[in-house]
Amino acid sequence: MEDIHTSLKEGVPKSRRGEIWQFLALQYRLRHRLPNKHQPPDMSYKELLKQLTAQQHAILVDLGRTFPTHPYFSVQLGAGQLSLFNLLKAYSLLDKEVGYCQGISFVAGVLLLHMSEDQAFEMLKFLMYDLGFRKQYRPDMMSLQIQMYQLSRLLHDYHRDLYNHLEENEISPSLYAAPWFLTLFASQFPLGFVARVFDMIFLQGTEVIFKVALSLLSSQETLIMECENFETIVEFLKNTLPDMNTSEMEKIITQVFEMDISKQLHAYEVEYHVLQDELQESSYACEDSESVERLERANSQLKRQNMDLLEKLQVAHAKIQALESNLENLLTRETKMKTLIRTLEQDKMAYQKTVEQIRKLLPADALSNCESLLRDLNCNPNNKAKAGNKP
Amino acid sequence: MAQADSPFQPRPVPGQPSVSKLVLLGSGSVGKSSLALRYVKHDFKSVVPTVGCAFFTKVVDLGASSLKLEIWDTAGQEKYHSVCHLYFRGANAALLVYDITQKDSFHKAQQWLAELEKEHPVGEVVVMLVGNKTDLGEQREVTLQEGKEFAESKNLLFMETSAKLNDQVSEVFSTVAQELLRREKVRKSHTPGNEAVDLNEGPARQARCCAH
Repeated sequence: MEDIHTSLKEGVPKSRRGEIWQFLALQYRLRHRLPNKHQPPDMSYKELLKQLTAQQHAILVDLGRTFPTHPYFSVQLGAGQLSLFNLLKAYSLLDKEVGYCQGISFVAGVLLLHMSEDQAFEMLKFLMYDLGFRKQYRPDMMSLQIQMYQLSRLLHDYHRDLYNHLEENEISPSLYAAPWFLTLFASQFPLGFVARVFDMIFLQGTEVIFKVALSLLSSQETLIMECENFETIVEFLKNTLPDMNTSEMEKIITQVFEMDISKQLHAYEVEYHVLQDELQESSYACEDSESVERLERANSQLKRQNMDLLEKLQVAHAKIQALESNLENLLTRETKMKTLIRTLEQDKMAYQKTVEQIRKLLPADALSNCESLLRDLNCNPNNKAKAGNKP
Repeated sequence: MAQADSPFQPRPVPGQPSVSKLVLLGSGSVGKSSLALRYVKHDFKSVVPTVGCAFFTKVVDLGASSLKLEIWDTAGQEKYHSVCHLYFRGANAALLVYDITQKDSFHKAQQWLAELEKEHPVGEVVVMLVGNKTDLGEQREVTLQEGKEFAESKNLLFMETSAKLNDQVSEVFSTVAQELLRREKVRKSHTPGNEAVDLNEGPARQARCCAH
């Protein structure tokens, strides 16, 4: 695994990339088993291809618009477009809730450039279900909005100047980063870069999108700061930012490998939900942005504390549970022992009574004979029983 | 117009044209991005589906006056309805685009109107219904008359266009710009409070116009 990590950092040969993605997916599945209720329905690719999808029109209109300049996809209803159609159709039938959502065609397209159709279907399932990308395409797009908030908070915490500059110009992540998340960078960035991003996604999951976004923005911070208004910034983020050379790309990849933001992402997600609740409660409250910001900061700190405590609580709960089940075990064993003791005692009493009766029936000399015999037999229980029965 | 093509435009200063926000709405693949691209960049090519939102600006020259349009191009697929309100907040104008060869897209345009009216009271936003793809006339499913009648019933402006053949595209934007200017003049000539009909000139909108 270490070796894979290093080689992915340096980039892998294009011809082996499909294999490596599938291997990484396998590894991931060995370590993280998806709970049954989150598993995709068990339907084979072949089966799905035989059915008809209600999303046919939506898929068809996007075929010619997915990687329109790539030779594999540019031919109208050529091999590339047909494979893409099959794959998107099968997925829309598999995942009824998401169906076909714009953005997915780019993800599917990248996979098809590296493997066969049915392999690509398996890997699309992996990305969507196992890694959880499907959440952002669900009808309410809640997860996308949370992600936009998380990105904005990351910028706020790690690149304050840039954050302020973007805020002053009223540029929120939903304006520029939505396609980054929804196409995993595939719709706007050069394919060489996209493949590297996919390498990292197969290794680390959804977090990679945030890391790449942060790294991209921070690497161009100076130039973004030089853009003076809304339009020039938007233009820069959309057209200049994706246009990078190899050394810039390598720098970004290295940075992504060194970043760890999972805790923050989790905290900001919780924060988003809390803020949403508060927003609903006090939608008419004052809009003093400064105090809001102060409260937000205090809030996020408290939230972080809360998270830590929650974690500790969870550990404690697990311990208690283990101890409780242990205790239960001991208790059942105890009751078992008690009943055993009781039956043994009853047996003993019965034996004693029998012995008493036998004594009464026997003459005194026979009894003393018997006792000496018992002593001779050294109290062997078997012999004792035989001796006892002798008249 | 050459100035608008440059990605780096001079920062607007007071005295320069006022800025209006225009959103492009309509179902997927009706030609929203193509209309914007044709108008702003004088280009027609296959575009990738818009996920989220794209953004253009252009100064509309109307002879005596001019107006700067911020054109917000939104994702058309229905799945994106839930995030679209992020983009049409503060809009001054909207183009409701449908494809004349897809009846369904015409119905969807009507749904978009309802969506828009949820966020903005009727009459606050200049809305134009646009039937695109007249170059595919032989596959037409929505007649000119149908478009016209619906637009009239809802008090919308109306035009048919072809982004591909560059037919009526700049007319769409300049007509909307003219209407925006006309309404602005009407607003200026009325002191606030005397205006009985137009209740919609909220301070928020004014602020957006003057922000640049």
